[in-house]
Amino acid sequence: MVLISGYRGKILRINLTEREVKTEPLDEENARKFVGGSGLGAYYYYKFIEQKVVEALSPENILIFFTGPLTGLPTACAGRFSICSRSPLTGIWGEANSGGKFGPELKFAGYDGIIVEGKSENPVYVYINDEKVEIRDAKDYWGMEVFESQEKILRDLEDDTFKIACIGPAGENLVKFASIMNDGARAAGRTGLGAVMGSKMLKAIVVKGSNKHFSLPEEFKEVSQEAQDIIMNDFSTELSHDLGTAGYVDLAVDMYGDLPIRNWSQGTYENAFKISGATMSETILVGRKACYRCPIACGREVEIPEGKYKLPKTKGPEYETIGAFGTNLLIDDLEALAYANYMANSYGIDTISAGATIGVLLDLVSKNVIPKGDLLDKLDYSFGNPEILIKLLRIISYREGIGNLLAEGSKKLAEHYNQPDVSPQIAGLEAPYHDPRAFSGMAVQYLTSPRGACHVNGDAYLVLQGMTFPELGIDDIPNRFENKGIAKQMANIQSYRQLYNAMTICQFYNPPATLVAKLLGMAMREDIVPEDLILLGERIFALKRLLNLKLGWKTEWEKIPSVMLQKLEGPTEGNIPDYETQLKEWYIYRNYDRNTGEPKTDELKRLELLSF
Amino acid sequence: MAYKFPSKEWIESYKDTLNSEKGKSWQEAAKTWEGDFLFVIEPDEKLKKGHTFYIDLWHGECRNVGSFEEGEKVPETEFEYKGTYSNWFKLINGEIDPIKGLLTRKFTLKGNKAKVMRATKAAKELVNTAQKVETEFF
Repeated sequence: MVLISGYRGKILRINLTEREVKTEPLDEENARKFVGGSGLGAYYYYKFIEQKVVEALSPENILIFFTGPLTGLPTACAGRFSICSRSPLTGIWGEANSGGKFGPELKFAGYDGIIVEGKSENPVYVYINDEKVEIRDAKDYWGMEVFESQEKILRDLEDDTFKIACIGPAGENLVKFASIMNDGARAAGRTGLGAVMGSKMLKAIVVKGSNKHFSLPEEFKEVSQEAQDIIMNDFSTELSHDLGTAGYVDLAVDMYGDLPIRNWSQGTYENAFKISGATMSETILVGRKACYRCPIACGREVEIPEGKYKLPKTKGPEYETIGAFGTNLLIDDLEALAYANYMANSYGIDTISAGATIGVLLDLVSKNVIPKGDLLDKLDYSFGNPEILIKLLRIISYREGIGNLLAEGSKKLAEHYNQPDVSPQIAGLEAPYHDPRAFSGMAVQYLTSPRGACHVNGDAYLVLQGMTFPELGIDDIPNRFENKGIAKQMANIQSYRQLYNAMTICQFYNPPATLVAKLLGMAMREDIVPEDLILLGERIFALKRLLNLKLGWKTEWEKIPSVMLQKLEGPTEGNIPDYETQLKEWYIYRNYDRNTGEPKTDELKRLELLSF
Repeated sequence: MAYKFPSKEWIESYKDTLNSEKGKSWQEAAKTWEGDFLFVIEPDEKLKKGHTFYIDLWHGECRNVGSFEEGEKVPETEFEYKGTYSNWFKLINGEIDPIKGLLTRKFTLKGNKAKVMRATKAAKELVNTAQKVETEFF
């Protein structure tokens, strides 16, 4: 048993082919190097592919669930966990992070992580109740949508305190952007790991733990309180609490042009205010929902008591979903968006990729690229039509008709019709709804992100609005359209967010780095200073780069499709990011080889990665 | 003529500018806005005593302004936007925008955030128009 405060010291290894459950000690030495979450997940995945690289949906592939040393601890915003594997959507490193309560519960049951191996012949779920771990039959749940499955499992267990991570029809049908849902409608959405779970015939993991005690110094409580007091007086925290993440919609559209409109092709959208967090708070909002120990509570609870889009009390759409289904598809009906969000969660599908893929389809239809025979009859494939969105979400999830092609993602869809540049993706992953034309630095973040275009592996859009971390060299913020001289800030925020996804804590929780270092130090029983935070992040980032090179990632993929580079009127002021300049400086700052993409030998030595 | 910031003369000149041809962009962006503000300028190393401006904005018109020395009774308003003198200097000179000021903790805002979020364009134009007032800083 390891003695590190924030870890439990053991992981579960579950082989579905052999129907075998084992516990093994956490690799403590590498936990100190890669921390936890997607960092330690990357380490375990790297070790796995050292023996053999396998396809994402192969029975031989593994699926990793990992908490971090801060998950479940008595500190704010520590409710997150990571899921990792090879992505079936991109073919490279896949990771998805989620809030909710599943991660902390896994820690309370006594485990830092779970590695799922093999493939079951029949649908199964994994039952974890402290030391009691079983592989159980799930034929009664297979085929059910997410909410229905979660409710039935809890009913059958006669205990509604279990926390569940499960897939819906999209995961079962191997939709390449299927999500893994937990705590109701919390999604580990990106990179299609729900399909990996589905390929193993694994419907759900249910967990309940009884030990909430962690051996922490008394100072941990004081530092946690100090950090919480600081963030609770922060405007962005207040905004997230009052208006949810969608509170940024008005600002994104009107002030910066950060929220892509009509498949990234339009610069302004005067109806954005109809679908913003502000409007939600005055219309369908009935409450707020927080992840484990989160004082911010950015989660929205909405209800539509009657009408076409009648909904029970459920999770409301977040900023990314408002972008994906709203501005991106020109749908300005908030009730319709809430309904589509509910259906996407119920099918278990990533709203970011789903919205982007549907946007590409509508764009191709508007350009008369798609033969009529390929489409379902009697439907209006126009932008601005909520009915087509709701219909397409269903046929994607069940792979019906053209939904079968859409289920492969926007890149495959656009390539199928010989229009690759219409798809807003990088390295195969649909970009989230932050536009590099609004904040140029997002270009290099998307291009070099370990999992393809991603906003949680580097949130330059916040840094370029002025969010600084002076102790980490993320200060002296340039103009938002600047391309030169930004490599240090962009690389450092990437590294810091690698660490966030490894610790694992929420990226909306940003107390001064000195306090984060103290909290992590106490959780890991190490002396950690702010500079170490960047070093740990750099190490994790480099490991994921090494992993991606083994999985076939190439520097030639560092290109932004032309649909994302059109000159637009409006708040982006016609800006087009010069990503070649950004990449050139970024590679020098990172000390990676520009041609091969590999970290240079002296860099690997500095990061203690020479053995990888 | 340049007006000292903060002063009664400055806020009156600002009102005139907002209501003039120079304030056209703000008038357009704020045509549905209804609400009054206190702009609170906190003292720092460059300003010894705090100062508060009152400004009443209504459908693209600046209807009324007021100027209050530290300790004077100020009106109750729907919103309060507060920062140090040095940060007001940066704001009026265009080094930071009003929303960025909030995100970077240089300013605080009291009042209905939903209403302010819908008026970010108007807020930006409000500051742009302030740059058109000839200003003399301490």
